Amino acid sequence: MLLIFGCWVLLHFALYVLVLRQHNAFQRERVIFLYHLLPAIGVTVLVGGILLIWPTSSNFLKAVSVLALQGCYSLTFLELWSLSQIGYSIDILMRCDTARARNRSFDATEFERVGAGKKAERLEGLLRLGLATPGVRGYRLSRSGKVLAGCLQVIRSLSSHREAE
Amino acid sequence: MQLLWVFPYFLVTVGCYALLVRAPLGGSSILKFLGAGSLLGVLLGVHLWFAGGEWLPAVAALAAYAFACELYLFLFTLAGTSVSVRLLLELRGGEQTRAELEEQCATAGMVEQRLDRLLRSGLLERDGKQFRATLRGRQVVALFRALKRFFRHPMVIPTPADEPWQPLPPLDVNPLASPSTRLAIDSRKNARI
Repeated sequence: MLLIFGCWVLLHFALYVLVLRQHNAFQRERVIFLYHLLPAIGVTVLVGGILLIWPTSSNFLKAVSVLALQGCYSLTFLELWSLSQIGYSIDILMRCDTARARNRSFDATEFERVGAGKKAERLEGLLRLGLATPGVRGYRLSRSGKVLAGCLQVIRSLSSHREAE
Repeated sequence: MQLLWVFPYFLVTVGCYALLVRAPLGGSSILKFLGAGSLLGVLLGVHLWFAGGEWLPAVAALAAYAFACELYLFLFTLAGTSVSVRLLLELRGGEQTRAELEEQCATAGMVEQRLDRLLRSGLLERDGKQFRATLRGRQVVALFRALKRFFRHPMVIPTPADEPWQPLPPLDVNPLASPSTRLAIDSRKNARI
């Protein structure tokens, strides 16, 4: 099972490198996300099916390995794809580097404009996902939004007390 | 069961990271987490090797531990930097109008926060009133430019080498030149596009 999974991951990655990354569709977040989500669901269903038919401890351990490795592969790929496309901090760093090379000063106002655009877009995103809803005079969190915000606050507090202040 | 050891090792990793990030040490939070995670991962592997010696439970436990760490890394970077998460956390305090959200999440503040984080991570340094990338920062930039090229993302931020295309000096093109000569000349012209 592990060997077949390894071959599958290599094939999935090779297909992207050799063919799919040349297409404009694979520059969109949604498409690249589905390119990983759908096979991950497929792998989960397949592995779950094997476990149902042959419920041994060896198969259980193999299933855990396969699912964990699939998660690592997809998360790493999507994080690197996303960061290299839309990383705000990375963009700032790149801009500073370019400005230095051209003996110019770094202009923060352009990033402030980009940031304003991101905020408006993200608020609409939260409303679309049902994490926020229009309230009496503005916006408020939905129930699922409150749960998610609570979990994220815990993670934020654990990981960086300076930013949590 | 050996798989259950993943939970305490993961919790210890998160605890060590929480201590490291509060300690007066330089460096990025991501590197601190990777350091703590790698060390505890090696300890987990050694522990499982001495506990049972079977490879399959050890592989399953290490894979599950790696995934848990990766997921946590994704979540805490998201929680620390994402604009959407910041909006969620502001709304957690109660209903807010768009103007109040604008004030709370001022974009100038967002840029300043990013600059501050880059300074603390040692990727940027101050040069009077200006900022410039450190050697490490330039290495990170080079890495992400390579990733942009790999993923075929548009290079919207020009590199120092991407100066506007300068036309080559005119070549003496003989219309009767052989196809291979004309091909070589075309290649030379296209090389700067």
